[in-house]
Amino acid sequence: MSTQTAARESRLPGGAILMRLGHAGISLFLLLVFTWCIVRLTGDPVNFLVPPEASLEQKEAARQRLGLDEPLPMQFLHYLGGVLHGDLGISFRRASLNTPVTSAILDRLPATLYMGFWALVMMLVIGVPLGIYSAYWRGGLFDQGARLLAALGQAVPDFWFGLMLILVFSISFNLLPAGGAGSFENVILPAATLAFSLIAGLIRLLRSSMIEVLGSEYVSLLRIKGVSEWSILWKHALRNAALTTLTYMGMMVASLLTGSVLVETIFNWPGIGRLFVEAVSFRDFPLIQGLILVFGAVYIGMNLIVDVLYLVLNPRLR
Amino acid sequence: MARERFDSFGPDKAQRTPGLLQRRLARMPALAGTARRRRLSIATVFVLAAATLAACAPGDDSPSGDDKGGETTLTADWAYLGTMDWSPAGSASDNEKVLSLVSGALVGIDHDSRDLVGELAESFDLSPDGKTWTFKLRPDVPFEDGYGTVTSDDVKYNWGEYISKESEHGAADQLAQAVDGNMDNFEIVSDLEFKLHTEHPITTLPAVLCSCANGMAILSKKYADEHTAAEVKNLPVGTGPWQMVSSKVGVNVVMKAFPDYWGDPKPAFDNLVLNEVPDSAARLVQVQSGEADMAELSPSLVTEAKASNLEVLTVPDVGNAFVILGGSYWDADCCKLDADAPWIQADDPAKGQLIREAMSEAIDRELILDKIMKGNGKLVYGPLLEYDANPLLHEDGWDPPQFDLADAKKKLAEGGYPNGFPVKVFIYDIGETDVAGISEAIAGMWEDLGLQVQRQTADEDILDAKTDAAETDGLAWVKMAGFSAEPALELGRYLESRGDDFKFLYPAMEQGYTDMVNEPDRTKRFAYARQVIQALAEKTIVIPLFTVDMAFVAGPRVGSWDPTPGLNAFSGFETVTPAS
Repeated sequence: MSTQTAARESRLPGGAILMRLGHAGISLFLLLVFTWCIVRLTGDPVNFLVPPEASLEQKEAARQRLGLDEPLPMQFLHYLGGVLHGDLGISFRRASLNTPVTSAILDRLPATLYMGFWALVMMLVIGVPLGIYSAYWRGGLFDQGARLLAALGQAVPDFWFGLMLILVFSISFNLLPAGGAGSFENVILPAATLAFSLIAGLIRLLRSSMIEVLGSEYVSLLRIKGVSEWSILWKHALRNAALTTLTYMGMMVASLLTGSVLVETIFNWPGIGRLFVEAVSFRDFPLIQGLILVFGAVYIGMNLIVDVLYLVLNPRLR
Repeated sequence: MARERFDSFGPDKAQRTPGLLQRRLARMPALAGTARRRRLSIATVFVLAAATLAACAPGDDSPSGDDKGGETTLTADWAYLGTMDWSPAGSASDNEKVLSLVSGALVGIDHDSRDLVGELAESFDLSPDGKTWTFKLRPDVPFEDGYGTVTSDDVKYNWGEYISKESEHGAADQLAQAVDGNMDNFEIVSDLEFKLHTEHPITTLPAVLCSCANGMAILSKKYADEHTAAEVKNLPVGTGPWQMVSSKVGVNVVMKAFPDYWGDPKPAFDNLVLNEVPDSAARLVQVQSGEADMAELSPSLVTEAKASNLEVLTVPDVGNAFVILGGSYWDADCCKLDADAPWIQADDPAKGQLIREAMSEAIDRELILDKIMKGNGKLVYGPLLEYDANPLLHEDGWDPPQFDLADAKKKLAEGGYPNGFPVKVFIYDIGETDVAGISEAIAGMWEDLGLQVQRQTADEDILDAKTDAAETDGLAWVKMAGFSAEPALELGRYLESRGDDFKFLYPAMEQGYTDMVNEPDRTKRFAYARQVIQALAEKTIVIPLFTVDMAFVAGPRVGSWDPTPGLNAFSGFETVTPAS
């Protein structure tokens, strides 16, 4: 292979990436339009923001303050103009404190990232070895145990698992706090709950990929060469098996952020999942729209990253 | 075995090809260097990511739920803590329930007799012509942080804020009426006395100002003058048992005991942390695990709480639940009576009443109270205003309707509908009272009666839209009226003359309300209220169910608690004593 050819192959195709970026932008715009329309079908948010005994005048004043008295097309154009300038509007619930949606989200995002990080660590530390050795000792007791765990993880709802963890670790043995934030102890149970179903998915996918890879000829060749089993599993086979799980990992990382709604509610964790529940409860339109935009951006962003990583890892796709 | 299968590919060490191994070993130093650098890079990225994420750890700006550093902290979980705008004008909805812990009010309620008594006001009197209220303030009641003592100036400042254009307070209209909408009619007689002049008497004013109704908060004018609007919104300064330390929307409110609180008892805990926990099951497990000391409790979780050896406490009489039959706009100008409805039958009203009685007798109230409300309530004779704990709102001989399905079926036939008729039951959720469960139970009981029930499950504001437009024909729904220290305040929400939300209308209510608001004598006002109750009950204009108590759960650190009766929120944290 000539040097020029090698250099060409090592470069990433800018056109393909630009096209994917364009797709991502269009997806986000469609998501924005869809969300804006759909939240307005849920009813009048003013009823949730003023006291039940408020007069019609008070309700109308609140409507004016929130800009809900304008015709819908104008409301949309204002919103779109704001979004293009990075302004997602003012949270209805926080209107009197003049808190922008971006501030409300940024205020809570770190807590969700923190929990997501530890869930990711748990997922990788537990899921990867289980997936690898489940494939390696296929059919054995270890494999059966790992498969049982995977089946449970995928079958058991997050909220139920979370409540069980609280029951055992907080109420029965008083080992860990049942909720709240403030110390590392607080994050263990919610992160474990969040990680449980993801671990299950990772085990299943990695196991099947590893079984396929371990049966391939190049692994036989590595063994013939005398490469150690540890090295075969963790360096050579995992690298190839990981390619298949990459898409899933991307979605998993995204769901660590977006799938935290129930977990944060159960554990009273002050992240964006609970913020979303709060926004829906109060029909806080700008906040709902902002959060869905963030969730959408995370998913689309992760897809984009996975696409690019595919191109990096597999030159045949370029 | 799979292990054996994979191992079978592996050659013995002796069979390895020396040439290949040597070539690999020869490349090792260079490879090792690259790998080391790569590992180092990965480790660096990981450490940086971990450090960044560690910085994301949500900080704990609240005192611990455990007692540390010699300070004691009481932690309570609420469903929602409001918008956390603590300025008087922004004090709306859930805000006022929290603000009342900090602010103090002019009027309070006697927990036993349910009479209105002075709090910050020592006395309040209405002139014989009903046009002037005179309030005398309690002397030497200190504001927090050294902002002086409560004076008439402070009250005037708050009054002005509450009736301002920006005000979202539910009682803004009544407070404005008390001064004819003009603060010039607020006359300061002295530091400790003020008069309110109006051409439109408002006899129920003390109840509007009562802490039992999250009445007007009295905050420091001096503090407001010396601070920005944003500071006033964030850190209110009042005279209550607790001082605001911090609040974070959707998360928590942190308070500390005000050592110079004028009232009695003074807080037994040093700190108070209120957490916003919307999910009822999550609130319960927080108390079960000791993370929280107290929490609002959904009736559906009462059994579980008791099984955990936790104490279930109740605030009695927070509401009166009843069933409204749609289109019941009797003799109203604004709205059309559904004359052909089976429960009205305008051409033969006696038959309409038989149908209403049949629908009432088909409801097994005791079963609902036992199974759904878990005993948190009492059967009543009349709807809307009756609370048998208050002797002024109950009469001997008022017996609740009895469940009698056979008689109900008989009345249904006599009313002209032996095979039943279609009725749409609206099922919705409000707060922690299981209105949806009650509605579902009633729907089932009416099916047993022979009615063709269609259930419509939706948010309350869908129902609000229907009542705003007075389009409720064919519909039936459960309504919970709130407790008010003055029945006229609650009744005022059901009137044609005052309403923009038409649930049901009946002439005796309009008449009773007019009588009440024009009557300076409280005993006579309550007599009018009893007349309204009786008129509604005798004709079964709506179907009475029961009064509702609000349930709370308390952990082992809580000894006793004396909340404000009738207030559907946490209150009286200063009365919470630590368990011995």
